[in-house]
Amino acid sequence: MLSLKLAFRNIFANRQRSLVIYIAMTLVSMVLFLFLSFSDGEIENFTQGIEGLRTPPADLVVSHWDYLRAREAGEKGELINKMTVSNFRALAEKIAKVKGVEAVYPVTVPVNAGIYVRGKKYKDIQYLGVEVGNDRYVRDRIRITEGDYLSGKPNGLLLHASMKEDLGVALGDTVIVTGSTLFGQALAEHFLVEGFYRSKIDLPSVFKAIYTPLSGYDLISGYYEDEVPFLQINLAKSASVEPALNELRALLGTVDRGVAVHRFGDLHQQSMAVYGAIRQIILSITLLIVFVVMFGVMNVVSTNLVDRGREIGTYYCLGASRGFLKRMYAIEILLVNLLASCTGIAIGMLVVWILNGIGFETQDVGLQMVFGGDRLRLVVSVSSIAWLTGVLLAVTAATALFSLGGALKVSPVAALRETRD
Amino acid sequence: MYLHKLMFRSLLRHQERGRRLSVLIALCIAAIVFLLAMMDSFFDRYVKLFIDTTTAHLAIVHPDAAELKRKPWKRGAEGLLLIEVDGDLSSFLRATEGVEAVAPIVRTSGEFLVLNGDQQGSTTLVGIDPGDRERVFPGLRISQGSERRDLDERDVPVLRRSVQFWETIKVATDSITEGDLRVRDRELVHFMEQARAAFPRHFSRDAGGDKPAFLQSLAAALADPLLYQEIPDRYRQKYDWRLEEAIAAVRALGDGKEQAEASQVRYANKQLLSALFPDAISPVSEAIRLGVPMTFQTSSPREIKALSLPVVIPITFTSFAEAMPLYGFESFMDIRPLKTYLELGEREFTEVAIRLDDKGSIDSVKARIENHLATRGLDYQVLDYQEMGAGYLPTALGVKVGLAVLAGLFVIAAIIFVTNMILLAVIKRRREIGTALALGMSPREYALLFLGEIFVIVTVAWVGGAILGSIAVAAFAAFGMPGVVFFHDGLLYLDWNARHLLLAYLFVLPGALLAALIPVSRVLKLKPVEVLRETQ
Repeated sequence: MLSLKLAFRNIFANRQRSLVIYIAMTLVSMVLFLFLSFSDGEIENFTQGIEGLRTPPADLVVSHWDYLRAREAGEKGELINKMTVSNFRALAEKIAKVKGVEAVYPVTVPVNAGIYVRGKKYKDIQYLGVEVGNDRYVRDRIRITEGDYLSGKPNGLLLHASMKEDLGVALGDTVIVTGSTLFGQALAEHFLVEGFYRSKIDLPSVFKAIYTPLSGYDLISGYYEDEVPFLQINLAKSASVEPALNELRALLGTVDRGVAVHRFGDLHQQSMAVYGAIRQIILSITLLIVFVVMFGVMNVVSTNLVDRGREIGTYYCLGASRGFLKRMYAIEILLVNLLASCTGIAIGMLVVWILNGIGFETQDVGLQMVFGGDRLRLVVSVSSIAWLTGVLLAVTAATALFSLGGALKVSPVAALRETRD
Repeated sequence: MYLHKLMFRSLLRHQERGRRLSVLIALCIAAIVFLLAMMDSFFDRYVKLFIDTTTAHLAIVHPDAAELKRKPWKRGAEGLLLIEVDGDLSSFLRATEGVEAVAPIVRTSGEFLVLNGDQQGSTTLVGIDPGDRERVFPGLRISQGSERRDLDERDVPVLRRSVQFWETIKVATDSITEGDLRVRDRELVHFMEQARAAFPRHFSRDAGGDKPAFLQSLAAALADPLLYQEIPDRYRQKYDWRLEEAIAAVRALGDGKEQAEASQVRYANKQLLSALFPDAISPVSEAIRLGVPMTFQTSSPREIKALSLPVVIPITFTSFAEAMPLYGFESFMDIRPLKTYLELGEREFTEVAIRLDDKGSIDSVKARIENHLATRGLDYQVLDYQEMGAGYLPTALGVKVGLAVLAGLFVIAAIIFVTNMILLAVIKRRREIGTALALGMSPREYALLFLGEIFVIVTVAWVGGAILGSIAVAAFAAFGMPGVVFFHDGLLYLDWNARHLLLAYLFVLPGALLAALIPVSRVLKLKPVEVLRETQ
């Protein structure tokens, strides 16, 4: 307790020196916080932006019972595409009645086909189906730039706005969707361009999907009318996943043995692993920066302590033990570093709030790839704050361990001689 | 002159502290030299790699293709954008000073299909004369086999793009586990009965009806090279080409026509069982192999309709060609058969790739070619490697910026060390400073003394750091830095350059001298009377 009291007093007694470390650590923690917020924002842009449109995040996913195994076994796409949820509407109705289930909606897999427009054919367009009216995960993520959202007519298409220029297609044009279905059958169907959209977090260089109602998607994919690859389930915020999962398993066991329910992460491990890898790289970079910072802090602290040789000598003369002084100075460094990291994080949060408020948008493709979308987005996450505080505490511990030992080797006699006057 | 003397004496007197600081700065300088070498080597070698394997230095393309090359994310319409390369243009290009090699090319995209109709990856197929290919793309790595063609063979030899990690078969192909079974519950019981009935020797009734025992029996059956002889006739009454192919493959191994390894037998038997019980056992994907007849399917170069028949070329992979690792999607074929199948005229190509003697002459050669095209009234575009490689450059630039930031961090670290050392010295040497001031030395002169010491320490550290950094660079220049997946074999070879040593010095020394002014300014503020009182 006494060491804490003295550490406090020392901070204010050596105000100027404490301020130097405080400012340095505040700056470091702010920069690292913004760096982590940027990486969190980049991943969030991907998951909520284009990835969210292709694979909207959900709590649970209903798929064909053998889908996961077949995918793991490396079965061909054509065979995996056959593994669907049939009679999905009736099934969705039953699932919706389960306690805790907030929304059930069908999700399709992209069909790579071509589009024939104004005498030209473009390949490798991705077609996705939506159940009009049960498509919040799409509607919430896009804005219509021209025309209307899908009317629900089977031949309606909603194109990405960048296709207007790239493909020279206009509102109201009749186009031919061409190529082959998911099962290799020839495909040539007339569709009508009903509108153009942009994703709210857009990445036009990567994502140029075309949406069509499920009935149109069936024509393009080759699926039957009441058949979809997946049903996704969002749970109410108050509901926990495990009980809902068990209840749904019991329900599906009696209603439809041809399907199985999984956690979202079980089905999308690969994309989760990619985000995990990005996160690991970012954390490694922060560690490297902290390592360099640590040397700096250790240097500054040992310089300060050399400068405070008289003070240390006086403590020795007053009967303080080496252990006590180590504890006291360690607490002093800890308090300054902790306060600095809190200030750095607080300023960082303010900067995040301001930058997100400004909403910096870019049309530059390189920057879009860096941002994970067409706008800079910074996200504050508890894990980033915990990581940052943790590494700064580690810096403090390392400083205390490596700097204090040498600096406290002060002879009381020499200190007395120095403080004679 | 006396300042020099004092400085060296002071350095000798405080040599212990100076040595420690020198070591720290030397390590930082070594890191900076290493990072700068890595930064430049990555950028230069990456650019060289895509010039040597994919883009060449210059290319003449159709005006509409130029837009797509400059903006690779833009979608191009189907059909080839052709240019006409006549003898006059060819002669001009070959005679142009600075041009090393010229290759007319046909570039088209399509899919590889194995004979059962399964896709085995998509590719950009580059039709080029093999001799031209070696001259224009000397960086291409032909990793296996040879591309010599047997004149009697109909299949066109293709240098397939190297196999990407997602194309390798991830499941074990020579064993059967639970993950290979496509059945459960009643269907599983039914399958067990079917298997027992078909192969009673391997699946005896008393072997137990549980799944683990059944899987064990399946695994044992896989090892039997004569398993195919036990297939009951009823399975072969209706023709099934998959089954017949599987039987032929396993018979060839079992009859000793081929020197078979145990894993080959198990693989062939797994294919056999999968063909025999397709509803119960997952099919085994066909691995990408050389010498297997297959087809390349591409769209017609001219006939653009909503639905048009593809051009199908019978091919066989004779070797693997590695262009750009990670992003390399280019396979190669002799231009003559490709043009024949695509029904292109003798003078029709999609581009002309031009390799120069020296990268520095790009602008002048480009201008000459553009002039020539303009005088002939041709609207073809001449693109340089930066425009052609617009899809690759962001990677090189991104890595360059990242490494520059890291090098900057080490510069800052070195500066912090110096600032601290001077700060510490000002504190420790107050008595010395006081005495010197009392003897008539001005604070300004003492500050100069400190700066001189920094100069000597940083210079000595630079020599050490430069040697250390150069050794590290030399080691990676000789053996390559592993794990850099953007290069062949994942190895980045570093290039030593004296410029990096000089840059490290120029970054650290002025920075250190400037940063040292903060603690040194303390000396300027010292009053001799106060210092004398302290040093009583």
